[in-house]
Amino acid sequence: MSDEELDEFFTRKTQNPEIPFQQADWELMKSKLEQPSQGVNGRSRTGGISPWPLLLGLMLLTGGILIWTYWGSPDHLSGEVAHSAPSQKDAPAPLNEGASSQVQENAHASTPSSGGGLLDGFSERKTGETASEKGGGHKGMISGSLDKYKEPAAHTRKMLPKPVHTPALSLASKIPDLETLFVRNLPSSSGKTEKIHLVPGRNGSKSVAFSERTEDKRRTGYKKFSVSLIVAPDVSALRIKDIVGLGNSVGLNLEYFILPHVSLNAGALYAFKTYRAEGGLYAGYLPGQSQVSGDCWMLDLPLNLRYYALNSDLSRWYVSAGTSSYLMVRELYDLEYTSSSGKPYARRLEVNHGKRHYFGIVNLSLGYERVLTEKIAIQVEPYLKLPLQGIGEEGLKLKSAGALIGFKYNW
Amino acid sequence: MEQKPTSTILKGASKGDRKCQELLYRQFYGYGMSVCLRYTATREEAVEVLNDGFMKVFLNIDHYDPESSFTTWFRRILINTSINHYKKNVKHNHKALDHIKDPPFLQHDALDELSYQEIIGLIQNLPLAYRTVFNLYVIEGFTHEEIAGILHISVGTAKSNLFRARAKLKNLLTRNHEEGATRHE
Repeated sequence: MSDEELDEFFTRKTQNPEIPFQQADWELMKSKLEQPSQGVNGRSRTGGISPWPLLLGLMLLTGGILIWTYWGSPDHLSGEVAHSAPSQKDAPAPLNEGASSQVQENAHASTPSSGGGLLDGFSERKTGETASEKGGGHKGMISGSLDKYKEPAAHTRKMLPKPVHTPALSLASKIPDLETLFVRNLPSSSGKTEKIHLVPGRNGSKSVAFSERTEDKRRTGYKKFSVSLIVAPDVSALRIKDIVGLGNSVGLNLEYFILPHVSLNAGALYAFKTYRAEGGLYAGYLPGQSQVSGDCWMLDLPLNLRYYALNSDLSRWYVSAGTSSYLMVRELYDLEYTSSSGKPYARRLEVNHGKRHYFGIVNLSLGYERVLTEKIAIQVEPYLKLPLQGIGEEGLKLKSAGALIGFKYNW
Repeated sequence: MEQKPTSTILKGASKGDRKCQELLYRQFYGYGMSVCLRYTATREEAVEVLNDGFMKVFLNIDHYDPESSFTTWFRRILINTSINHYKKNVKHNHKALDHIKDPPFLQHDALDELSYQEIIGLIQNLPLAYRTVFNLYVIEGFTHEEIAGILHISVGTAKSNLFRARAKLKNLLTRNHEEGATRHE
Protein backbone atom coordinates (compact mmCIF):
# COMPACT_ATOMS: atom_id res chain seq x y z
CA MET A 1 0.00 0.00 0.00
CA SER A 2 1.45 3.35 -1.00
CA ASP A 3 1.38 6.47 1.16
CA GLU A 4 -1.27 8.02 -1.07
CA GLU A 5 -3.47 4.94 -0.81
CA LEU A 6 -3.09 4.86 2.93
CA ASP A 7 -3.94 8.54 3.25
CA GLU A 8 -6.96 8.18 0.99
CA PHE A 9 -8.13 5.15 2.94
CA PHE A 10 -8.03 6.89 6.33
CA THR A 11 -9.51 10.10 4.98
CA ARG A 12 -12.43 8.24 3.44
CA LYS A 13 -13.03 6.01 6.41
CA THR A 14 -13.08 8.85 8.94
CA GLN A 15 -15.54 11.02 7.04
CA ASN A 16 -19.03 11.56 8.46
CA PRO A 17 -19.24 8.68 10.92
CA GLU A 18 -22.41 7.96 12.85
CA ILE A 19 -21.55 8.51 16.48
CA PRO A 20 -24.59 8.23 18.74
CA PHE A 21 -25.19 10.87 21.40
CA GLN A 22 -24.25 9.87 24.94
CA GLN A 23 -26.28 11.48 27.71
CA ALA A 24 -23.45 10.92 30.20
CA ASP A 25 -21.17 13.16 28.14
CA TRP A 26 -23.71 15.98 28.26
CA GLU A 27 -23.94 15.54 32.03
CA LEU A 28 -20.17 16.07 32.18
CA MET A 29 -20.53 19.14 29.99
CA LYS A 30 -23.32 20.46 32.15
CA SER A 31 -21.26 20.15 35.32
CA LYS A 32 -18.45 21.94 33.52
CA LEU A 33 -20.79 24.76 32.55
CA GLU A 34 -21.94 25.12 36.12
CA GLN A 35 -18.40 26.06 37.16
CA PRO A 36 -18.23 29.61 35.79
CA SER A 37 -14.63 30.22 36.84
CA GLN A 38 -13.43 27.09 35.04
CA GLY A 39 -11.56 28.02 31.91
CA VAL A 40 -10.98 25.87 28.90
CA ASN A 41 -7.93 23.64 28.65
CA GLY A 42 -7.29 24.28 32.30
CA ARG A 43 -6.53 27.89 31.58
CA SER A 44 -8.63 30.18 33.65
CA ARG A 45 -9.52 33.27 31.69
CA THR A 46 -11.28 36.24 33.04
CA GLY A 47 -12.99 36.47 29.68
CA GLY A 48 -15.79 34.33 31.00
CA ILE A 49 -16.74 36.93 33.54
CA SER A 50 -18.85 39.78 32.32
CA PRO A 51 -17.33 43.16 33.27
CA TRP A 52 -20.65 44.96 33.23
CA PRO A 53 -21.86 44.11 36.76
CA LEU A 54 -18.61 45.47 38.18
CA LEU A 55 -18.80 48.61 36.07
CA LEU A 56 -22.42 49.06 37.11
CA GLY A 57 -21.38 48.68 40.74
CA LEU A 58 -18.72 51.29 40.19
CA MET A 59 -21.24 53.70 38.73
CA LEU A 60 -23.57 53.13 41.67
CA LEU A 61 -20.69 53.78 44.05
CA THR A 62 -19.88 57.03 42.28
CA GLY A 63 -23.53 58.05 42.33
CA GLY A 64 -23.76 57.24 46.02
CA ILE A 65 -20.75 59.41 46.78
CA LEU A 66 -22.27 62.27 44.80
CA ILE A 67 -25.55 62.01 46.66
CA TRP A 68 -23.71 61.85 49.92
CA THR A 69 -21.79 64.98 48.98
CA TYR A 70 -24.61 67.23 47.93
CA TRP A 71 -27.48 66.07 50.07
CA GLY A 72 -25.89 64.13 52.86
CA SER A 73 -24.06 66.81 54.79
CA PRO A 74 -26.97 69.06 55.83
CA ASP A 75 -28.99 66.09 57.02
CA HIS A 76 -26.05 64.85 58.91
CA LEU A 77 -25.54 68.17 60.63
CA SER A 78 -29.18 68.70 61.51
CA GLY A 79 -29.30 65.15 62.78
CA GLU A 80 -26.61 65.95 65.28
CA VAL A 81 -28.46 69.02 66.36
CA ALA A 82 -31.71 67.18 66.81
CA HIS A 83 -29.95 64.69 68.97
CA SER A 84 -28.24 67.29 71.13
CA ALA A 85 -30.76 70.03 71.50
CA PRO A 86 -33.50 68.28 73.53
CA SER A 87 -31.10 67.63 76.36
CA GLN A 88 -30.76 71.36 76.90
CA LYS A 89 -33.50 73.09 78.84
CA ASP A 90 -32.70 76.35 77.22
CA ALA A 91 -33.10 74.99 73.78
CA PRO A 92 -36.83 74.99 73.23
CA ALA A 93 -36.83 74.78 69.50
CA PRO A 94 -34.71 72.16 67.83
CA LEU A 95 -33.01 73.70 64.93
CA ASN A 96 -34.26 71.20 62.47
CA GLU A 97 -37.80 72.20 63.23
CA GLY A 98 -37.68 75.63 61.81
CA ALA A 99 -35.45 77.74 63.95
CA SER A 100 -35.22 80.97 62.14
CA SER A 101 -31.62 81.82 62.64
CA GLN A 102 -29.24 81.28 59.78
CA VAL A 103 -25.61 80.57 59.56
CA GLN A 104 -23.83 83.32 57.82
CA GLU A 105 -20.27 82.45 57.20
CA ASN A 106 -19.39 85.76 55.75
CA ALA A 107 -18.99 88.46 58.33
CA HIS A 108 -19.65 90.96 55.60
CA ALA A 109 -22.88 89.42 54.46
CA SER A 110 -25.74 91.83 54.23
CA THR A 111 -28.60 89.66 55.45
CA PRO A 112 -30.47 91.47 58.23
CA SER A 113 -30.64 89.69 61.56
CA SER A 114 -34.07 88.62 62.58
CA GLY A 115 -34.22 87.09 65.83
CA GLY A 116 -34.95 87.41 69.56
CA GLY A 117 -32.13 85.22 70.66
CA LEU A 118 -29.29 86.08 72.86
CA LEU A 119 -26.79 86.34 70.10
CA ASP A 120 -29.21 88.10 67.86
CA GLY A 121 -29.19 91.04 70.21
CA PHE A 122 -25.49 90.87 70.47
CA SER A 123 -25.25 90.64 66.77
CA GLU A 124 -27.19 93.85 66.36
CA ARG A 125 -24.91 95.61 68.82
CA LYS A 126 -21.83 94.26 67.16
CA THR A 127 -23.20 95.24 63.81
CA GLY A 128 -22.79 98.84 64.62
CA GLU A 129 -19.28 98.35 65.87
CA THR A 130 -18.30 96.39 62.86
CA ALA A 131 -19.97 98.77 60.55
CA SER A 132 -18.19 101.69 62.09
CA GLU A 133 -14.89 99.86 61.93
CA LYS A 134 -15.30 98.66 58.38
CA GLY A 135 -17.15 101.59 57.01
CA GLY A 136 -20.61 100.11 56.93
CA GLY A 137 -22.34 97.30 55.21
CA HIS A 138 -22.07 94.67 57.92
CA LYS A 139 -25.45 93.76 59.24
CA GLY A 140 -24.69 90.96 61.61
CA MET A 141 -23.29 87.58 61.13
CA ILE A 142 -25.59 85.22 62.95
CA SER A 143 -29.02 84.71 61.70
CA GLY A 144 -30.81 81.76 60.36
CA SER A 145 -31.25 78.10 60.97
CA LEU A 146 -28.78 75.32 60.74
CA ASP A 147 -31.19 73.08 58.91
CA LYS A 148 -31.06 75.50 56.06
CA TYR A 149 -27.35 75.11 55.93
CA LYS A 150 -26.27 74.07 52.51
CA GLU A 151 -22.94 73.83 50.83
CA PRO A 152 -22.52 77.51 50.14
CA ALA A 153 -21.93 78.72 46.66
CA ALA A 154 -18.41 79.70 45.81
CA HIS A 155 -19.25 83.41 45.59
CA THR A 156 -20.50 83.46 49.19
CA ARG A 157 -17.26 82.03 50.47
CA LYS A 158 -15.17 85.13 50.48
CA MET A 159 -13.20 84.68 53.61
CA LEU A 160 -11.53 87.28 55.74
CA PRO A 161 -7.93 87.62 54.71
CA LYS A 162 -6.46 86.91 58.14
CA PRO A 163 -7.27 84.30 60.76
CA VAL A 164 -10.87 84.94 61.59
CA HIS A 165 -12.29 85.08 65.04
CA THR A 166 -15.77 86.34 64.56
CA PRO A 167 -17.06 88.83 67.10
CA ALA A 168 -19.88 86.48 67.90
CA LEU A 169 -17.54 83.69 68.80
CA SER A 170 -15.40 85.97 70.89
CA LEU A 171 -18.44 86.95 72.86
CA ALA A 172 -19.59 83.38 73.09
CA SER A 173 -16.38 82.43 74.73
CA LYS A 174 -16.75 85.29 77.23
CA ILE A 175 -20.33 84.74 78.26
CA PRO A 176 -20.51 81.85 80.74
CA ASP A 177 -24.21 81.15 80.06
CA LEU A 178 -23.47 80.48 76.49
CA GLU A 179 -22.95 76.80 76.14
CA THR A 180 -21.77 75.32 72.91
CA LEU A 181 -23.83 72.29 72.03
CA PHE A 182 -21.39 71.05 69.50
CA VAL A 183 -18.42 72.15 67.55
CA ARG A 184 -17.59 70.54 64.30
CA ASN A 185 -14.31 70.96 62.52
CA LEU A 186 -14.51 70.73 58.80
CA PRO A 187 -11.35 70.62 56.73
CA SER A 188 -11.42 72.94 53.81
CA SER A 189 -9.69 72.67 50.52
CA SER A 190 -8.94 76.34 50.72
CA GLY A 191 -6.44 75.68 53.48
CA LYS A 192 -8.71 76.84 56.28
CA THR A 193 -10.57 75.01 58.98
CA GLU A 194 -14.20 75.76 59.55
CA LYS A 195 -15.75 75.38 62.99
CA ILE A 196 -19.50 75.30 63.30
CA HIS A 197 -20.74 76.18 66.77
CA LEU A 198 -24.26 75.65 67.99
CA VAL A 199 -25.37 77.42 71.13
CA PRO A 200 -28.77 77.31 72.81
CA GLY A 201 -30.89 80.38 73.17
CA ARG A 202 -31.76 81.72 76.60
CA ASN A 203 -35.24 81.62 78.22
CA GLY A 204 -37.06 80.03 75.39
CA SER A 205 -35.31 81.89 72.71
CA LYS A 206 -34.14 80.11 69.64
CA SER A 207 -30.89 78.22 69.32
CA VAL A 208 -28.40 79.74 67.05
CA ALA A 209 -25.42 78.54 65.16
CA PHE A 210 -22.47 80.28 63.72
CA SER A 211 -19.28 79.36 62.07
CA GLU A 212 -15.71 80.33 62.40
CA ARG A 213 -12.90 79.83 59.99
CA THR A 214 -9.27 79.90 60.86
CA GLU A 215 -6.22 79.52 58.75
CA ASP A 216 -4.68 76.12 59.01
CA LYS A 217 -1.00 76.86 59.01
CA ARG A 218 -0.17 73.33 58.03
CA ARG A 219 -2.12 73.67 54.83
CA THR A 220 -1.29 77.14 53.69
CA GLY A 221 1.82 76.19 51.68
CA TYR A 222 1.75 74.97 48.09
CA LYS A 223 4.21 72.16 48.69
CA LYS A 224 1.81 69.44 49.57
CA PHE A 225 2.28 65.79 48.96
CA SER A 226 -0.07 62.91 48.95
CA VAL A 227 0.23 59.23 48.28
CA SER A 228 -2.60 57.01 47.08
CA LEU A 229 -3.13 53.30 47.10
CA ILE A 230 -4.89 52.57 43.84
CA VAL A 231 -6.96 49.69 42.52
CA ALA A 232 -8.50 49.90 39.08
CA PRO A 233 -10.75 47.48 37.23
CA ASP A 234 -10.63 48.12 33.51
CA VAL A 235 -11.43 46.75 30.08
CA SER A 236 -9.12 46.68 27.09
CA ALA A 237 -9.93 46.24 23.44
CA LEU A 238 -9.29 47.50 19.96
CA ARG A 239 -12.98 48.07 19.44
CA ILE A 240 -15.82 48.29 21.94
CA LYS A 241 -17.54 45.20 20.57
CA ASP A 242 -14.40 43.14 21.16
CA ILE A 243 -14.39 43.58 24.93
CA VAL A 244 -14.15 40.12 26.42
CA GLY A 245 -12.93 40.36 29.97
CA LEU A 246 -11.96 42.46 32.90
CA GLY A 247 -8.42 43.55 33.61
CA ASN A 248 -7.12 45.21 36.72
CA SER A 249 -4.36 47.36 38.09
CA VAL A 250 -3.00 47.89 41.56
CA GLY A 251 -0.31 50.28 42.67
CA LEU A 252 0.71 53.57 44.21
CA ASN A 253 0.46 57.18 43.08
CA LEU A 254 2.49 60.08 44.42
CA GLU A 255 1.03 63.56 44.08
CA TYR A 256 2.86 66.86 44.44
CA PHE A 257 1.01 70.18 44.36
CA ILE A 258 2.92 72.67 42.28
CA LEU A 259 0.06 75.17 42.61
CA PRO A 260 -2.95 75.14 44.94
CA HIS A 261 -5.11 73.58 42.26
CA VAL A 262 -2.52 71.91 40.11
CA SER A 263 -0.56 68.81 40.95
CA LEU A 264 1.94 66.52 39.33
CA ASN A 265 1.23 62.81 39.66
CA ALA A 266 3.61 59.93 39.19
CA GLY A 267 2.72 56.33 39.86
CA ALA A 268 3.56 52.70 39.42
CA LEU A 269 0.86 50.13 38.81
CA TYR A 270 1.03 46.43 38.14
CA ALA A 271 -1.59 45.86 35.48
CA PHE A 272 -3.28 42.88 33.88
CA LYS A 273 -5.07 43.32 30.58
CA THR A 274 -7.02 40.75 28.60
CA TYR A 275 -8.43 41.20 25.12
CA ARG A 276 -9.29 39.60 21.82
CA ALA A 277 -8.90 40.99 18.33
CA GLU A 278 -10.39 39.82 15.08
CA GLY A 279 -8.37 39.65 11.89
CA GLY A 280 -7.32 42.72 10.02
CA LEU A 281 -7.01 45.04 12.98
CA TYR A 282 -3.39 44.53 13.82
CA ALA A 283 -0.01 44.24 12.28
CA GLY A 284 0.04 40.51 12.93
CA TYR A 285 2.78 38.31 14.23
CA LEU A 286 2.71 36.05 11.20
CA PRO A 287 0.81 36.41 7.95
CA GLY A 288 -2.57 34.76 7.76
CA GLN A 289 -3.49 35.48 11.34
CA SER A 290 -7.25 35.52 11.81
CA GLN A 291 -7.69 36.11 15.51
CA VAL A 292 -5.66 36.75 18.62
CA SER A 293 -6.52 36.41 22.29
CA GLY A 294 -4.04 38.02 24.61
CA ASP A 295 -3.33 38.27 28.30
CA CYS A 296 -0.70 40.82 29.29
CA TRP A 297 0.89 41.61 32.60
CA MET A 298 2.78 44.88 32.70
CA LEU A 299 4.10 47.74 34.75
CA ASP A 300 2.18 50.93 34.05
CA LEU A 301 4.12 54.06 34.99
CA PRO A 302 1.78 57.06 34.61
CA LEU A 303 2.94 60.67 34.74
CA ASN A 304 0.00 63.06 34.81
CA LEU A 305 -0.85 66.69 35.41
CA ARG A 306 -4.00 67.16 37.44
CA TYR A 307 -6.16 70.26 37.73
CA TYR A 308 -8.64 70.53 40.57
CA ALA A 309 -11.39 72.43 38.78
CA LEU A 310 -14.23 72.40 41.29
CA ASN A 311 -13.53 72.60 44.98
CA SER A 312 -15.75 72.56 47.98
CA ASP A 313 -14.97 71.82 51.58
CA LEU A 314 -15.48 68.09 51.41
CA SER A 315 -15.18 67.27 47.79
CA ARG A 316 -13.24 68.14 44.67
CA TRP A 317 -13.58 67.42 40.99
CA TYR A 318 -10.52 67.26 38.85
CA VAL A 319 -9.34 66.54 35.34
CA SER A 320 -6.09 64.84 34.58
CA ALA A 321 -3.98 64.28 31.49
CA GLY A 322 -0.57 62.83 30.85
CA THR A 323 1.28 59.83 29.57
CA SER A 324 2.01 56.31 30.66
CA SER A 325 4.94 54.03 30.05
CA TYR A 326 4.24 50.33 29.71
CA LEU A 327 6.95 47.87 30.64
CA MET A 328 5.75 44.46 29.49
CA VAL A 329 6.31 41.75 32.10
CA ARG A 330 4.55 38.76 30.58
CA GLU A 331 2.48 38.28 27.46
CA LEU A 332 0.45 35.22 26.57
CA TYR A 333 -1.21 35.04 23.17
CA ASP A 334 -3.39 32.47 21.47
CA LEU A 335 -2.94 33.16 17.78
CA GLU A 336 -5.28 31.61 15.30
CA TYR A 337 -4.29 31.31 11.68
CA THR A 338 -5.85 30.21 8.46
CA SER A 339 -3.44 28.06 6.52
CA SER A 340 -2.78 28.24 2.83
CA SER A 341 -5.13 25.30 2.38
CA GLY A 342 -7.88 27.24 4.15
CA LYS A 343 -7.68 25.15 7.32
CA PRO A 344 -7.41 26.91 10.65
CA TYR A 345 -4.80 26.24 13.27
CA ALA A 346 -3.60 27.86 16.45
CA ARG A 347 -0.36 28.79 18.00
CA ARG A 348 0.41 29.91 21.52
CA LEU A 349 3.00 32.60 22.02
CA GLU A 350 4.50 33.50 25.38
CA VAL A 351 6.86 36.42 25.83
CA ASN A 352 8.53 37.33 29.09
CA HIS A 353 10.02 40.77 29.78
CA GLY A 354 9.22 41.98 26.29
CA LYS A 355 8.97 45.47 24.88
CA ARG A 356 9.05 48.75 26.75
CA HIS A 357 6.89 51.62 25.60
CA TYR A 358 8.17 54.81 27.18
CA PHE A 359 5.56 57.57 27.16
CA GLY A 360 3.69 55.58 24.55
CA ILE A 361 0.20 55.97 25.99
CA VAL A 362 -1.95 59.06 26.53
CA ASN A 363 -3.94 59.18 29.78
CA LEU A 364 -7.17 61.15 30.09
CA SER A 365 -9.33 61.10 33.17
CA LEU A 366 -11.96 62.87 35.20
CA GLY A 367 -11.96 62.36 38.94
CA TYR A 368 -13.85 62.99 42.09
CA GLU A 369 -12.30 63.24 45.53
CA ARG A 370 -14.15 63.02 48.79
CA VAL A 371 -12.42 64.23 51.95
CA LEU A 372 -12.87 61.80 54.81
CA THR A 373 -10.58 63.44 57.33
CA GLU A 374 -8.04 66.19 57.10
CA LYS A 375 -5.46 63.73 55.84
CA ILE A 376 -7.42 60.98 54.21
CA ALA A 377 -9.54 61.11 51.09
CA ILE A 378 -11.07 58.66 48.69
CA GLN A 379 -10.94 59.15 44.93
CA VAL A 380 -12.85 57.68 42.01
CA GLU A 381 -11.37 58.45 38.63
CA PRO A 382 -12.76 57.05 35.36
CA TYR A 383 -10.00 57.04 32.78
CA LEU A 384 -9.14 56.35 29.19
CA LYS A 385 -5.75 55.17 27.96
CA LEU A 386 -5.02 55.68 24.28
CA PRO A 387 -1.86 54.24 22.75
CA LEU A 388 0.38 56.29 20.51
CA GLN A 389 2.17 53.16 19.34
CA GLY A 390 1.55 49.42 19.07
CA ILE A 391 1.68 47.71 22.43
CA GLY A 392 3.41 44.44 23.23
CA GLU A 393 4.73 41.72 20.96
CA GLU A 394 1.63 41.87 18.79
CA GLY A 395 1.94 45.62 18.31
CA LEU A 396 -1.75 46.24 18.88
CA LYS A 397 -3.11 49.70 19.55
CA LEU A 398 -4.84 48.52 22.64
CA LYS A 399 -7.16 51.02 24.30
CA SER A 400 -8.15 50.73 27.92
CA ALA A 401 -10.92 52.26 29.96
CA GLY A 402 -11.66 51.84 33.62
CA ALA A 403 -11.91 53.57 36.93
CA LEU A 404 -9.20 54.18 39.46
CA ILE A 405 -10.30 53.89 43.05
CA GLY A 406 -7.75 55.54 45.29
CA PHE A 407 -7.27 55.84 49.01
CA LYS A 408 -5.28 59.01 49.48
CA TYR A 409 -3.14 60.17 52.36
CA ASN A 410 -2.08 63.83 52.46
CA TRP A 411 0.84 65.31 54.30
CA MET B 1 -26.15 18.58 3.76
CA GLU B 2 -24.56 21.29 5.90
CA GLN B 3 -25.81 21.18 9.48
CA LYS B 4 -26.71 24.56 10.95
CA PRO B 5 -28.10 25.45 14.33
CA THR B 6 -31.30 27.47 14.31
CA SER B 7 -31.17 31.12 15.27
CA THR B 8 -33.32 30.32 18.32
CA ILE B 9 -30.75 27.82 19.56
CA LEU B 10 -27.90 30.23 18.88
CA LYS B 11 -29.61 33.09 20.70
CA GLY B 12 -30.55 30.88 23.62
CA ALA B 13 -27.06 29.41 23.90
CA SER B 14 -25.63 32.90 23.72
CA LYS B 15 -27.76 33.91 26.70
CA GLY B 16 -26.66 30.84 28.62
CA ASP B 17 -29.96 29.00 28.26
CA ARG B 18 -29.09 25.45 29.30
CA LYS B 19 -31.75 23.82 27.14
CA CYS B 20 -30.50 25.57 24.00
CA GLN B 21 -26.93 24.65 24.92
CA GLU B 22 -27.99 21.04 25.24
CA LEU B 23 -29.73 21.10 21.87
CA LEU B 24 -26.62 22.54 20.24
CA TYR B 25 -24.49 19.94 22.02
CA ARG B 26 -26.75 17.11 20.86
CA GLN B 27 -26.82 18.38 17.29
CA PHE B 28 -23.04 18.59 16.92
CA TYR B 29 -21.96 15.89 19.34
CA GLY B 30 -21.32 13.28 16.65
CA TYR B 31 -19.42 15.67 14.42
CA GLY B 32 -17.32 16.92 17.32
CA MET B 33 -16.52 13.44 18.56
CA SER B 34 -15.42 12.38 15.08
CA VAL B 35 -12.75 15.09 15.22
CA CYS B 36 -11.71 14.61 18.83
CA LEU B 37 -11.46 10.81 18.69
CA ARG B 38 -8.75 11.09 16.05
CA TYR B 39 -6.56 13.35 18.18
CA THR B 40 -6.81 11.47 21.45
CA ALA B 41 -5.83 8.06 22.76
CA THR B 42 -9.08 7.13 24.48
CA ARG B 43 -12.77 7.92 24.29
CA GLU B 44 -12.62 9.60 27.72
CA GLU B 45 -9.88 11.90 26.52
CA ALA B 46 -11.91 12.69 23.43
CA VAL B 47 -14.92 13.66 25.54
CA GLU B 48 -12.68 15.92 27.63
CA VAL B 49 -11.40 17.72 24.52
CA LEU B 50 -14.89 17.87 23.04
CA ASN B 51 -16.30 19.46 26.16
CA ASP B 52 -13.43 21.96 26.27
CA GLY B 53 -14.28 22.79 22.68
CA PHE B 54 -17.97 23.21 23.45
CA MET B 55 -17.04 25.44 26.37
CA LYS B 56 -15.21 27.70 23.92
CA VAL B 57 -18.23 27.61 21.65
CA PHE B 58 -20.57 28.68 24.43
CA LEU B 59 -18.22 31.41 25.64
CA ASN B 60 -17.61 32.80 22.16
CA ILE B 61 -20.86 32.11 20.37
CA ASP B 62 -21.44 35.84 19.94
CA HIS B 63 -18.42 35.86 17.64
CA TYR B 64 -19.89 33.24 15.35
CA ASP B 65 -21.16 34.68 12.09
CA PRO B 66 -24.52 32.95 11.36
CA GLU B 67 -23.94 33.50 7.65
CA SER B 68 -20.93 31.21 7.66
CA SER B 69 -20.70 27.47 8.22
CA PHE B 70 -21.07 26.43 11.84
CA THR B 71 -19.24 23.14 11.34
CA THR B 72 -16.22 24.93 9.88
CA TRP B 73 -16.12 27.28 12.86
CA PHE B 74 -16.68 24.43 15.29
CA ARG B 75 -14.05 22.25 13.61
CA ARG B 76 -11.55 25.08 13.86
CA ILE B 77 -12.22 25.36 17.59
CA LEU B 78 -11.91 21.60 18.07
CA ILE B 79 -8.62 21.39 16.19
CA ASN B 80 -7.21 24.27 18.21
CA THR B 81 -8.40 22.65 21.41
CA SER B 82 -6.88 19.34 20.35
CA ILE B 83 -3.56 21.05 19.61
CA ASN B 84 -3.62 22.72 23.01
CA HIS B 85 -4.35 19.32 24.50
CA TYR B 86 -1.37 17.93 22.59
CA LYS B 87 0.90 20.69 23.89
CA LYS B 88 -0.24 20.09 27.42
CA ASN B 89 0.44 16.37 27.22
CA VAL B 90 3.34 16.04 24.81
CA LYS B 91 6.02 16.53 27.49
CA HIS B 92 4.54 13.82 29.65
CA ASN B 93 4.22 11.49 26.67
CA HIS B 94 7.66 12.17 25.27
CA LYS B 95 9.35 9.29 27.06
CA ALA B 96 6.61 6.95 25.94
CA LEU B 97 6.96 7.99 22.32
CA ASP B 98 8.33 4.65 21.22
CA HIS B 99 6.25 2.67 23.61
CA ILE B 100 4.48 -0.05 21.65
CA LYS B 101 0.85 -0.34 22.61
CA ASP B 102 -1.03 -3.53 22.09
CA PRO B 103 -2.35 -3.43 18.53
CA PRO B 104 -6.11 -3.13 18.28
CA PHE B 105 -8.06 -6.29 17.51
CA LEU B 106 -9.63 -6.05 14.04
CA GLN B 107 -12.61 -8.22 13.28
CA HIS B 108 -12.30 -7.84 9.51
CA ASP B 109 -9.21 -8.63 7.51
CA ALA B 110 -10.41 -6.91 4.32
CA LEU B 111 -9.61 -3.19 4.54
CA ASP B 112 -12.92 -1.97 3.22
CA GLU B 113 -14.79 -4.02 5.78
CA LEU B 114 -13.11 -2.28 8.69
CA SER B 115 -15.57 -0.30 10.77
CA TYR B 116 -15.13 3.29 11.81
CA GLN B 117 -14.35 2.19 15.35
CA GLU B 118 -11.60 -0.09 14.12
CA ILE B 119 -10.08 2.68 12.00
CA ILE B 120 -10.17 5.08 14.95
CA GLY B 121 -8.65 2.35 17.10
CA LEU B 122 -5.71 2.20 14.69
CA ILE B 123 -5.16 5.94 14.80
CA GLN B 124 -5.52 6.03 18.58
CA ASN B 125 -2.89 3.32 18.81
CA LEU B 126 -0.30 5.75 17.46
CA PRO B 127 1.90 7.66 19.89
CA LEU B 128 0.67 11.20 20.55
CA ALA B 129 3.24 13.00 18.40
CA TYR B 130 2.73 10.65 15.43
CA ARG B 131 -1.01 10.77 15.73
CA THR B 132 -1.16 14.56 15.83
CA VAL B 133 1.07 15.04 12.78
CA PHE B 134 -0.80 12.31 10.88
CA ASN B 135 -4.14 14.00 11.56
CA LEU B 136 -2.93 17.47 10.67
CA TYR B 137 -1.26 16.36 7.47
CA VAL B 138 -3.47 13.60 6.14
CA ILE B 139 -6.94 14.53 7.38
CA GLU B 140 -6.75 18.33 7.79
CA GLY B 141 -4.42 18.99 4.88
CA PHE B 142 -1.75 21.14 6.52
CA THR B 143 1.74 21.35 5.06
CA HIS B 144 4.80 20.26 7.01
CA GLU B 145 5.87 23.89 7.41
CA GLU B 146 2.50 24.76 8.89
CA ILE B 147 2.55 21.75 11.19
CA ALA B 148 6.03 22.69 12.36
CA GLY B 149 4.76 26.17 13.23
CA ILE B 150 1.67 24.86 14.96
CA LEU B 151 3.38 22.24 17.10
CA HIS B 152 6.63 24.14 17.65
CA ILE B 153 8.71 21.37 16.10
CA SER B 154 11.10 21.35 13.17
CA VAL B 155 9.94 20.50 9.65
CA GLY B 156 12.22 17.47 9.79
CA THR B 157 10.54 16.22 12.93
CA ALA B 158 7.12 16.71 11.36
CA LYS B 159 8.15 14.68 8.32
CA SER B 160 9.76 12.02 10.45
CA ASN B 161 6.66 11.69 12.65
CA LEU B 162 4.45 11.36 9.60
CA PHE B 163 6.71 8.72 8.09
CA ARG B 164 6.66 6.69 11.32
CA ALA B 165 2.91 7.10 11.70
CA ARG B 166 2.31 5.78 8.20
CA ALA B 167 4.75 2.94 8.70
CA LYS B 168 3.05 1.92 11.89
CA LEU B 169 -0.41 2.04 10.38
CA LYS B 170 0.70 0.06 7.35
CA ASN B 171 2.27 -2.47 9.63
CA LEU B 172 -0.93 -2.84 11.62
CA LEU B 173 -3.08 -3.14 8.54
CA THR B 174 -0.72 -5.58 6.79
CA ARG B 175 -0.33 -7.73 9.87
CA ASN B 176 -4.07 -7.83 10.29
CA HIS B 177 -4.49 -8.77 6.65
CA GLU B 178 -1.88 -11.56 6.92
CA GLU B 179 -3.37 -12.87 10.15
CA GLY B 180 -6.77 -12.90 8.47
CA ALA B 181 -5.39 -14.79 5.49
CA THR B 182 -3.76 -17.31 7.84
CA ARG B 183 -7.05 -17.79 9.67
CA HIS B 184 -8.83 -18.45 6.40
CA GLU B 185 -6.23 -21.02 5.37
